[in-house]
Amino acid sequence: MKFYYILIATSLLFSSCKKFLEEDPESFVSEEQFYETESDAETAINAVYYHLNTGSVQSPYNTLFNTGMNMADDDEDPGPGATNSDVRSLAVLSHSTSNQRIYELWQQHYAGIRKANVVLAKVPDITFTDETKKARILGEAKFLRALFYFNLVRLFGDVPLVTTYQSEVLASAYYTTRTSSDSVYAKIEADLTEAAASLPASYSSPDVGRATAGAAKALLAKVYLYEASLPLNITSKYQQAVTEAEEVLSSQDGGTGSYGYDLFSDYSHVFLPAYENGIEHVFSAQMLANSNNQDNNETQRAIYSSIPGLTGNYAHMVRYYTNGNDNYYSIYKIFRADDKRRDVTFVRSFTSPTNGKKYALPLSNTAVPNDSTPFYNKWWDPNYASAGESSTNVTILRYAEVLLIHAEAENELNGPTAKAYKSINRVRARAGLPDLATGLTKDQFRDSVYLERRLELVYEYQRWFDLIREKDASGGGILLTSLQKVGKTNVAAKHYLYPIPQTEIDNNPLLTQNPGW
Amino acid sequence: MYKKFVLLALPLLYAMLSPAQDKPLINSTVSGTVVDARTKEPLPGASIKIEGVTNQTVTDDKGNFRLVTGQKLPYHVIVRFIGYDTLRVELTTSPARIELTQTLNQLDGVVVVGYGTQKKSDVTGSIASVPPAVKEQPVNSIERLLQGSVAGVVVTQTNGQPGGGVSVQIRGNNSISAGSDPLYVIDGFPINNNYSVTNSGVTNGPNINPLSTLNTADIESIDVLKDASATAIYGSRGANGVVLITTRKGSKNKSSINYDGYYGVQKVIKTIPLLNAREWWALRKDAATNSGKSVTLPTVTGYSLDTSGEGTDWQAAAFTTAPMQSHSLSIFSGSEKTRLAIAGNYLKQEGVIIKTGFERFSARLNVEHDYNTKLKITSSIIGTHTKANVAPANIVQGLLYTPPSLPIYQDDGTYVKNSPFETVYANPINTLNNQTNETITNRFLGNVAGEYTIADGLKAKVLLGADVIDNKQNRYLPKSTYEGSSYNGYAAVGSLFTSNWLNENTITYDRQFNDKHRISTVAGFTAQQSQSKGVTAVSYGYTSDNLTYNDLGSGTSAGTPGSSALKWSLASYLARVNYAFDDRFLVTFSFRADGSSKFSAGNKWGYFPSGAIGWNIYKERFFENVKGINVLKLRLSAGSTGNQDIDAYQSLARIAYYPYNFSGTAVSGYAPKTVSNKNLTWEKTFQVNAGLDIGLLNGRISIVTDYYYKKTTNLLLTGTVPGTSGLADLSNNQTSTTYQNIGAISNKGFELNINSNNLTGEFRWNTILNFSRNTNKILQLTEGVEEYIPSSAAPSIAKIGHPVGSFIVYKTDGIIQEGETALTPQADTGPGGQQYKDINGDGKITSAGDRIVIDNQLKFTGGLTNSFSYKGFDLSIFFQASVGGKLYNTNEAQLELGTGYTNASRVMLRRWTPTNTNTDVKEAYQDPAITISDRFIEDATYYRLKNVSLSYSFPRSFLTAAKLKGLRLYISAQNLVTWTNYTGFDPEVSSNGQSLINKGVDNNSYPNNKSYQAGLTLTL
Repeated sequence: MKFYYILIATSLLFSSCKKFLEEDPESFVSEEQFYETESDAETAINAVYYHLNTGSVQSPYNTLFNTGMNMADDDEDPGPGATNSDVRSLAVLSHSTSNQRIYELWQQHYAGIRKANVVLAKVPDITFTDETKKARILGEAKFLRALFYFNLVRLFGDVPLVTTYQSEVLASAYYTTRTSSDSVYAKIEADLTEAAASLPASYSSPDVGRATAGAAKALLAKVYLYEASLPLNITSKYQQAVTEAEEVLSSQDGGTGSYGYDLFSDYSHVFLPAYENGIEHVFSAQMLANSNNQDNNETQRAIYSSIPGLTGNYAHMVRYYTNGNDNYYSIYKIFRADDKRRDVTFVRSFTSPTNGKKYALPLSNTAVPNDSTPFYNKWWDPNYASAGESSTNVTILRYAEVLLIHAEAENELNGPTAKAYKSINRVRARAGLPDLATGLTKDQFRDSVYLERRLELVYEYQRWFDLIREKDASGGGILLTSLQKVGKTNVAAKHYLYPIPQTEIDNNPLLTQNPGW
Repeated sequence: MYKKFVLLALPLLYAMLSPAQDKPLINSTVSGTVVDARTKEPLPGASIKIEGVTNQTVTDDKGNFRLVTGQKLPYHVIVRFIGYDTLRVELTTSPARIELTQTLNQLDGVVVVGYGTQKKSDVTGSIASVPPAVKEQPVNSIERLLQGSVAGVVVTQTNGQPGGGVSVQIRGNNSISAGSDPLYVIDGFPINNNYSVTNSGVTNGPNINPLSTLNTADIESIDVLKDASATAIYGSRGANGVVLITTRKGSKNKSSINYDGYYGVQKVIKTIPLLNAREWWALRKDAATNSGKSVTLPTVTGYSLDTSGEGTDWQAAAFTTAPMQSHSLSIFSGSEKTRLAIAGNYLKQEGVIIKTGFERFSARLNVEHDYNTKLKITSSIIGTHTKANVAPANIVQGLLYTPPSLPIYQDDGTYVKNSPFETVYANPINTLNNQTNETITNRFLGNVAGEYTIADGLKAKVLLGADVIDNKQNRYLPKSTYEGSSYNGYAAVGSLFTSNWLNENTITYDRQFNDKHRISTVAGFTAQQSQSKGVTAVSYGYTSDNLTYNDLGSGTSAGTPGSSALKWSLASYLARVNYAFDDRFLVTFSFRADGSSKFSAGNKWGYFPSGAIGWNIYKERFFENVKGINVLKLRLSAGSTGNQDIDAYQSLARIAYYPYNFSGTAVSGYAPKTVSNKNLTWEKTFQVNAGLDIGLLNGRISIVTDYYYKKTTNLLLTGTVPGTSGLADLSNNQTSTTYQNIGAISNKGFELNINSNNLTGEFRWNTILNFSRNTNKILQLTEGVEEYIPSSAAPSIAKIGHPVGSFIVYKTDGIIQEGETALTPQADTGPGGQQYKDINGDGKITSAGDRIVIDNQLKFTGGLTNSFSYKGFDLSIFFQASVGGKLYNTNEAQLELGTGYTNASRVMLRRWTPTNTNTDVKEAYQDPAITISDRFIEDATYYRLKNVSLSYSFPRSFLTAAKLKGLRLYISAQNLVTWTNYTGFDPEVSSNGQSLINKGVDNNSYPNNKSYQAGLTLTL
């Protein structure tokens, strides 16, 4: 009989089957349990920033802008370590609509947008003791959403504008059409205007690095400048660009900005972790070595692969020369020898920490004795070089660019005025260059600004966009001629816009392709 | 019942109670021996029963019996012994000698089915057993015994790492994203075979197979349940088939001590022909010249690079003749009330790559105890400790691609750290010799069951069991290795503890009614729960390499620690009825209801019914006159089963960790990774099966054939989702992160198994042939989606109308010749470049328009075993065939890049040059991006002499003299000869392990081996 008791007892044990089968996740929380407290809101906004720096996949500001965009421009080439066919096809502009890196650019921006949308949907319902903090968090979400859309609209043109948080399971619930660039820009302007109104001017530790009002305004100035440039060419926006830039510029630069921005006296400080989030840094992707893939992956990608004690895979190479002859345009050689920025931007050799020897690229040009291809050096972090990691932040907006935005917009609006000269000369002076020659025409001044942008901002993910938007003297684009000049003969008019990823069209029947693709 | 007993007992009573009977008893005791008719070996444990009365006895371990009886000779006795034909013989004298003949008819006997056993003649479903000869192969894990031996089962050793992975598919691929390996049930315990349980996340390289923790010598039988009628009793876990493993147990009044040991050596089957230093340097120069560059030697210190000699043969330096050995000791002991089996095993298998290997210690105890006539208690306990030294994932890559110009050692005798050429490889020999990369698994699998006979035929059973898996992984990369030098010594440890408990409560009722009706039922309730907790830690920056991973605290920097928790539960009700009418008509109905915690509320329960009928045609009266056919049985079944093999918590909107940093300090970030799917439920497979069993020539030939059709719907797939949703998985570009039930797959196939006793005299010859063919097709994916490509860097695709595991590739079209228009996505567009086919005719080669889908489907698999025996000699020859499969040879694709950055295949010696234009090999060129093309899809058909073994069992006369019960010596060889056109290491490979969609890719897998063993089996 004892046996029956055992049987009954064990059956009773599980009679409350419902509880037994309940899911009880211990190592994570579910959405229903989240978005309740202030600290939930804070971690929710941090998750949006994640898309600025994660290296667990190639994310926009951590390698992807390089492999999915820089490669196509006239300053960079794939190195021997770039073995991905998507990257190499992009580098010669033979890429197709199925290019993986282009799809990643698309998809990862939208992943960031989704996280911003969830903050904007859920945080308003959370009770805060400090309402300004709530406004700040919503402002940060709007700023980041605007930044993501700004990248998308610049790369792809008309893109779906998703501004709500959706939690449907079925794929068809996410089918959406493309929104015109004007409307996307309108939303970006609105988001940034609202963000500027609710974000603080600055932060103290532990919040340094979050979006500020100055960052929102500086980005807005840049947005207006882009709207005024090709391909939209809404020249009336130059005025707004000037106005917005002057609200960021500090008084010593003729602005009304109260953010205390200035240039570092030493160009190299812009890229050193010791000076991160300093006076020149308006907004940066925060990188951190040895912490959950938050390190800047560019360092090791830009250095040669076999230097004892250093980790490098040399996937990103400076466009230098080919065929032993210097018949291609080289970014390194555009720099004047006395430009202080050159030797900060590039290095010619690396010293091995293990054996103390100097290593340069073995691919030497017999025609130019002792010459060898330089390496990009901007994201190099001397503290972590051996582990291939880097805490160097990626600059997304910095004061030097605000000055150049101001100079460019002012020139377009009023010609090369003293204001325009003043702004560009500030940047040149820091580089150790003399003032720009006076008496330039508007066109000459424009060329000078773009050249200055190219030199000042090389490897900071600006060149491709500048190639797209720059006008030549007749008002046409310069993309085709510039790339043909460096031997990228596949370049065609369709390259002004990236293709909408084929997978995306396959997965969303409402999407259409860009012309020519 | 009582009445019957009385009636039977009466003559005995009469005999016992009538001593005064005037007629004296003659031969009141009969003694004798029961022996094997052929070998004349005694048969211990055979039962001898006098016909018509209850009096019976069992032979002792010398095959002798003694019957005390009041019966008068002559009379008839019935002699029974498992595996032998039952004999009715007239005893005329004492002592008697009785010879039993081994059963030839494979359609007789008993098979293990879910929650019980069944007579083969009563089976209505499709169940196959691994033939006894196959079980004796010296392999290190159970699944390998299924290879080629059971129709409908495709086994692929995914790599050659000792203790490494095996992928098993029964009747095709039912799934795309969820698991597709069968459910393994050991002595009634459904065990956890997910490879994640032996991977705490630290060791780099192939996963260790959780089933390799079990010793194959402990196995009594392996039965494979294939159709829905057989597997539906396992409900939500039955869709991929079920493998039932029964371990060896003691038997009544019988004892023995057995030793089984072997020693062997293994060798890599083949090596890949590569360039030597001189040839490679020439290619490197060509590549540079062709791409308009000049080439110089990197500056190195401490050693010189060889550009004119043979250089280093990295494969020769790493591959070795590796020993393996196994020692098993088992004791079987049985009394009237208690049966015991105690076994211990030690196995050590070194790998064919130096410093890799696998070691196992295992112990097992099986106890069966009859507490009284009503209560029987059984217990089975298995404890194992395994340790694998794992070859890191990139090591084969290092052996193949590292330029031969590089020496292994510097001039001062220390290792060269890494290749100084463009593509960096660490010195693989240094890595192998100096790193630590190990995974240690302790597994305890134990269960206790009590079975109580409530009334005649009615039994209740309660089983409680636990399967505890403790995995520990250690990794250390010393400063002296390239991998560890940048960290100044890198140490990592991981621990993963998985505990699984099971409770089963079943009631069985077996009853025969008036000779015509037999009914056998089982019903029950079971509950199972699994919990895993894992932790990992990393630190680096060590002053000394001496402590390796044992003092993480002394590293100057620490990596991010990790921990995890996972739990799932399963509650089930099950029932089955077998009914037989007159042994002619058989009906089976089974039903299981499973509730799984993995699914959302309201969708947790799944219901899995099945039904089958069998018709023993040969038992019909009209069949009596049919000559030659002894058995003819028709089986028909239909039913549904499920699959729930996905990670836990997939129905919830999971908040995931997305960290960032401010003010130079890391901060937490959280956001939903998935959306909650309130409808997430089982993957369902509906299967119909028609089978025919035929026995010919008095059982000398038995044939089993089955035809089946399976349709799997509600596939557990993450599916595709527009990227604009923001839900796409960042590391897997087209898929959603949320599991859904979408899509459908079909499998249909034919299986044939022939067992023929060609010769049955002194010289015996038995042939077993099995053949199976399966056709797999994807019927449906996410609505509106035609195809799904998991990664642009791999050739795999899932496309409607094609089988799972197909390829999407560019089509090559010769070499670009002088004056031809180049059609290529590659950088090399001049003469000598690879030309591709412009499929859509738009004048250029693009991934969107010019890739073709190539199906990858096995035409058939088969096995052929011939066993010969003569006197004490047994020879077994086992061929295995796998025909029609394809492999994408990633190794070769890399080796034919011809960049000069890495070493190259000898195929590159035939490369295009201006003077050698009539070739199919492109020129050397510095474009290091692989274009995935049909050139590297190879026929993976192979025919293999899988096992040959020759053994000699010593004769009785010798054994008696030596005071032994048995002695057998054997030699055997595995994978002795392989016939294939595949150019890689071995056609039996799957670099992506158990993954279905990415199968058929050979990418730097640990190469398979062939081996030779010699061993002995000794019984005391």
